[in-house]
Amino acid sequence: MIKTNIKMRVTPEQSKKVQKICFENGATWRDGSQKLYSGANFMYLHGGDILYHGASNRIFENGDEQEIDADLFIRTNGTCEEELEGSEREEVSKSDVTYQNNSGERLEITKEYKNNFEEFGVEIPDNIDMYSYELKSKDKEGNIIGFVDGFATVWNKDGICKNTFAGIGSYHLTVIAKGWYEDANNIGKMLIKENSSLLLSFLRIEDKKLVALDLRNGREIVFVDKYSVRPATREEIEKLIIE
Amino acid sequence: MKLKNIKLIVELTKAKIEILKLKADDYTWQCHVDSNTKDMLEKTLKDIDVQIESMRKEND
Repeated sequence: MIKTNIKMRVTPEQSKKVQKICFENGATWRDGSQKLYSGANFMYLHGGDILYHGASNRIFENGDEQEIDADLFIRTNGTCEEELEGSEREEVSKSDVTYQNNSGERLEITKEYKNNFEEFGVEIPDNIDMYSYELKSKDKEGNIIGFVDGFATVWNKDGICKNTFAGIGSYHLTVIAKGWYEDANNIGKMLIKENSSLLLSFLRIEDKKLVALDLRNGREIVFVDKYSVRPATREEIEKLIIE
Repeated sequence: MKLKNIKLIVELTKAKIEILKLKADDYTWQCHVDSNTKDMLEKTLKDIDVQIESMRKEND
């Protein structure tokens, strides 16, 4: 389903693509037509799937609709929800990973299709797709093992990620409080995506959108709805601490 | 045609263009202009056309 009650800045090329996606999903201009219009700098999609084009920057800036990046709208076919593509996920899961942590300790991760987190005292929620990685080194230093859709990631007790596999070595991850997205001091802290157990590091707010780091692969993800992620609670993280 | 009339036609045409630009901005016109204002602007457009036409005829 395409996202509605949104506004987008568009180039002529983006405008055409946005319109095509909207029309394919049943949206129309106010008069019910679906003809392609190429002269707009701004596009609006309201509830009831009514599409508008606009020319005024001032009106655009002051509009109540949620601003969406046109490329994101196009890339996600209008849903505006970023997902890791299956081919990328497969590419990661095929390779065994060995890395060295900040203390010089070598840790090996090999792919194994079983739930072996339990031996570390880590409880796995039922909704996690259970292909996971086995941690060859049992860490007794109070480290945290994160799991992201089955991918393990390791942080030390100070919240520093030790897992170069995730590509986020220098990000400090700690539990943060309500209102996290309004406080620049929370940059780099740990978030969780609702209903997916996706762990993220908060990077910045850009054009009123939340930019976070996907801990699986170090890639930035732009969330158009900042409320679709929230701070990980202490309980959620404490579940992951090795006793 | 008198210079004064020419200037007036130019000003009326500029006003007409501004209203047409507002109408062409689909979102602003549909979502930010109330129906009374729309009616008034549509009437103004017609009045401008009538006025320009009559001034041209005067000078034919």
